[in-house]
Amino acid sequence: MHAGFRRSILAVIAALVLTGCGREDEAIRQHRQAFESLGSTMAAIDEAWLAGHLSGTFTVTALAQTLQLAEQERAALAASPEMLADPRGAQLSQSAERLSRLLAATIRDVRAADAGAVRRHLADNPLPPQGRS
Amino acid sequence: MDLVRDLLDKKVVDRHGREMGRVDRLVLELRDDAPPRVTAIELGPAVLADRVRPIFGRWMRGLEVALGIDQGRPLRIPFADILGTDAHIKVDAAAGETPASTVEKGLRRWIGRIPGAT
Amino acid sequence: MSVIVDLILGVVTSIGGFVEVGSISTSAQAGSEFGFQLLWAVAAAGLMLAMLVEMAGRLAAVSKQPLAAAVRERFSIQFQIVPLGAELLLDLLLLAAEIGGVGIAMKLATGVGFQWWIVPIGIAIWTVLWRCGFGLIEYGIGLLGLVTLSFVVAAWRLGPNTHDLTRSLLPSLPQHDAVRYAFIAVSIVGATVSPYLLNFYSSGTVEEKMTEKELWVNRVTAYMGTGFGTVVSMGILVTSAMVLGPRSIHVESYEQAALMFVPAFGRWAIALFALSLGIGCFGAAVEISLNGGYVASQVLGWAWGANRPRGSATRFTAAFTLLLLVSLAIAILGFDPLQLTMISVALTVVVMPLMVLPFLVLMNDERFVKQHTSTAIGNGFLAALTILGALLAIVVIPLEVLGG
Repeated sequence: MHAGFRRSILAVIAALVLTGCGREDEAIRQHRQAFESLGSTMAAIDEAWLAGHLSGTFTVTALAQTLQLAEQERAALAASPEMLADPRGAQLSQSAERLSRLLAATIRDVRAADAGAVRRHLADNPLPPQGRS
Repeated sequence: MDLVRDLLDKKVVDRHGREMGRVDRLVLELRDDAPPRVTAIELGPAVLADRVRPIFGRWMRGLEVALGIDQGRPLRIPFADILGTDAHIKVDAAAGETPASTVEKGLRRWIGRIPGAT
Repeated sequence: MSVIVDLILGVVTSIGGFVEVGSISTSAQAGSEFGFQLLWAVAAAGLMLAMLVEMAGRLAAVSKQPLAAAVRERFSIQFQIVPLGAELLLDLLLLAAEIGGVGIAMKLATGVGFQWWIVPIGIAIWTVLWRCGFGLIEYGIGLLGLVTLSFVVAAWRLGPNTHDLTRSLLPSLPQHDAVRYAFIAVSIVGATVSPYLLNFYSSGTVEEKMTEKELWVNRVTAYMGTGFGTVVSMGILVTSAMVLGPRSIHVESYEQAALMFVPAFGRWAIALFALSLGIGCFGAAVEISLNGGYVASQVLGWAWGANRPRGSATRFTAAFTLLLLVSLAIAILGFDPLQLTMISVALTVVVMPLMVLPFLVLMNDERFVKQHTSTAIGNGFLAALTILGALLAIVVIPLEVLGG
């Protein structure tokens, strides 16, 4: 009777933990997908600017908008302590911060028309996409 | 005559065929030994609102009073003045002498001042 | 001869006026997140719209009354107040989103924030409404709107696999993010089948004094115009799928969406996207505002018409002016136009049965359409789709909002 009761409790706890983990997995996946999208956006904008397809004005506007989205996503990530406690979440948060700084630096360099610096930033993308998800 | 289908919400035109609005409410005379009889039709946003909810009707009436356009509203046309009821309700009245036209003319004082109004 | 010219003009202007903030937003997101997979949703929405638009024109040509007036006569005001109220609220939101869309287009072109452009855009819209007759508005919007064919040109230039395209015209289940897939499918329908379009089209039919003899013109214009317009929406989806999809870029801003033109158009990418977005949204904003005037006047029995001097229908003029002013106020509050758009189209689907089902009843009432009633298959198809769409929307929208 006791053993059966203990097994049931363990089963319930396991189920709760697993669903909790599942939800967190899903949340981390979504955040990662969002940051990869923004990192990829930065790359696409940089490449198009370097190729001469985009004006400096638009490039700065677009990068600034991307930075705004990145900051919103970072705030959403930081709003849940469980996520940051998770090592994957913590690493994502650090990569996201590097992305934001990269975006800000790129904006400055585009304004200064410094193509070389922008090319270097391109290589530093902390969140390259991991294929279609 | 099916009151609801043939009178209510139908377009009203004056004796010259000019549009006057739509039948917003019917005024009925209740009789003991016969079906109710329509004595008049009424036009006006306040009575229309009243049909949706009486409280809306009161608000609309209050708005009309506040804007000073409550004279002669709602426009009541006696049943005897109805000339025909096929596609539209034709009545023996003149569109230019209704409270609605007063509002139109009133607005025209403002809108008419903008270049290109006519 | 002139009938053929009118027909061609009618179809061409339908194509030019088709795309606006809703279709651009939903198709761009669909393509970037699910490749070609949602092409069937764009096609289905287009078919629904074509059927509804043809019916709106038929109703107006035979009964000589626009939709809002016919609904009041057939159902009385106590019933009509509910769908009417819903439509006006939706129109307010959508108009604010379209105005925001024009603002974003200006931001893409100049770098100046979209909120600064709201008031000048509002003045421009009102000036067009003040000065232009119905024909000039329709042809102006339609012809200038042909710039949106850029989406078709871009898609064609990218050389999509035609086998993949045709396969995607059949519905399929997603391999990931089922809730998001359903949400976007539902939003595509809401973006395409905007309620204002039906009353606007029927009012225009009355303005142009179409007769019963010309019903075939109405049918051809409705199906060909909407059909080709749908191809433009598909162009947006395909271009987005081929440029943004492989880079895993999810469209959360119009700046990202604009990037879809870079491979096809190089230096002209942003200019063409801004023009397409700006003109498409401006045209829709003019139509929605004008429709506000139409609906208010037709339901309340006021004189109305864009082909008469504004001074001769002052309540009509005041009505569309008021709608525009309230929407400008909403737009100026600075809501993100993309989010405002997604909210509007989602709500549209939920409310759609309220508007379509009474419309279907009207289309089978001989007092309004005489012998030109709709077929049972057509009625059944539309009724089923709108109800299913609304049910799906009610389930999926909360899931998407809570999960995202």
